[in-house]
Amino acid sequence: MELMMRVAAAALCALVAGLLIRQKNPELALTLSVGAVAVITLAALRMGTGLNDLRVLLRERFGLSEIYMQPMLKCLATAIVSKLTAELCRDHAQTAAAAAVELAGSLCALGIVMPLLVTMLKMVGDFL
Amino acid sequence: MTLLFLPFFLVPVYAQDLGEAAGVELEANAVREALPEEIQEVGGTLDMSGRYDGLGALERLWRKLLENISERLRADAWEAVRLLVVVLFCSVSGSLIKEKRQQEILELSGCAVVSLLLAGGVDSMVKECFSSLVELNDYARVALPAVYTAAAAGGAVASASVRYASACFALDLMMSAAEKLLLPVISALIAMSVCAAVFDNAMLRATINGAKKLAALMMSGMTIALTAMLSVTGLVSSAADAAAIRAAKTVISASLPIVGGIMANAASSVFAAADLVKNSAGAFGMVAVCALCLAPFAALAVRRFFFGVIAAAADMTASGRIARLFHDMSAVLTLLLGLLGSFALMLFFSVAAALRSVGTA
Repeated sequence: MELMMRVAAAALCALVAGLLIRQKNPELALTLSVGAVAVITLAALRMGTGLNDLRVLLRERFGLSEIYMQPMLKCLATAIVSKLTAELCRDHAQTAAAAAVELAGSLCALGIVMPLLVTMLKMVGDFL
Repeated sequence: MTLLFLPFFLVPVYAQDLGEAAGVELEANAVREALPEEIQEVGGTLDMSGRYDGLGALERLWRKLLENISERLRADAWEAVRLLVVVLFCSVSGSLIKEKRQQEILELSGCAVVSLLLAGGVDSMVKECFSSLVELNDYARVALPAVYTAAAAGGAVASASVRYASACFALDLMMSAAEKLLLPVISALIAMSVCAAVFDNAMLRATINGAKKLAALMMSGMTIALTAMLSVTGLVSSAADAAAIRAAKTVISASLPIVGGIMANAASSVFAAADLVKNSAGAFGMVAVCALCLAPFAALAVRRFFFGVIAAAADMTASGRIARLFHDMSAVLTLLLGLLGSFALMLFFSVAAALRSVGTA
């Protein structure tokens, strides 16, 4: 809760400052947005340790190989980065760039998942 | 002089141990010896004198079932928790992403991971089921001749041979159908379920549903048809057997004055001994069939139960894809249970058909 209050406060500050700066100095407004996003994301990542604990639990207690978990985590990270970047682009009227970032994110995620899918398809082939 | 010496050549004859002697002669012990030691213990001692402890065998069977179930529960619970945690992980990760395309890719990877973890286990269950079928079939090849020979020795010569032939035909048909038709369909079903979970497709889903229905229909149809065949065959010949034995007894009694009746009664004692052997071996065989099926049944049922639980949990948390995959795998295990059950039922009925052969004592 405390972290959420801090995040909300940081976001509001960045919003107000951005509104004040944007008219006079749009470049600085962009830098401010990027900075705010980075700070908030880093703060949120500290709370994401629960997910990491789950990953560690799966690896150590249940013997689930990293081969299975890594693609999913990488996919998750790719999705978060591409989403944030695309929204930043949209904020500054760069819709085409936002779409490109999203497309790149999807392709990257697909590339990460591909080895898993290939292994799975090989297994399906073995069944038939 | 001859008459004076005749009493010295008298040989005492007793009918009290006839059952044991008939058991040795008819090689009925093969029903027990063909089994692994563990199953022999469940079946108990094969007593040919008609004192087979059926109740005790059922009690041991029940204890063995509970033992098997608790063993499998302990072994599979860990695997189930692992799958459940993976499902939870997929669900938590999916909830962090709002963009549909990215979410779909993450779901895809989750599905692939679950499929890789799941399908290997299910495939090993298919192989285990097949080896159980082979084991049952091998046992049938040893047990059925012993039981039917005893039935034939008990006077049901024609009906026992007809019933034995139809039992062999039914089991061979069932085995070849399982090997060449049902197990390949089940393997294809696993492959299609995995594909449908990852690449959802209406056509594929319809094919899966069709394959499930086809396999279930084939199994139930074959079981009903072959059971009906086993019940009907031998009805006419068993009546003929009974008539032939009665006629033979009458002829012996009527044609040989004084000793004819004694000889007919002695023949009845021999038939009764063979009947005792048939009944003991048959009852033991039935218990043995159940005991042979216990371990694979427990394994399949426990895994089926866990898949059902995970499917229910996945229905609540994760995407529909993973839940559907678990539902499909549960259906595969149900089909395997059905296949093993039908074969065991067929073998059970085959032994029961021998027991129904007309006793002429």
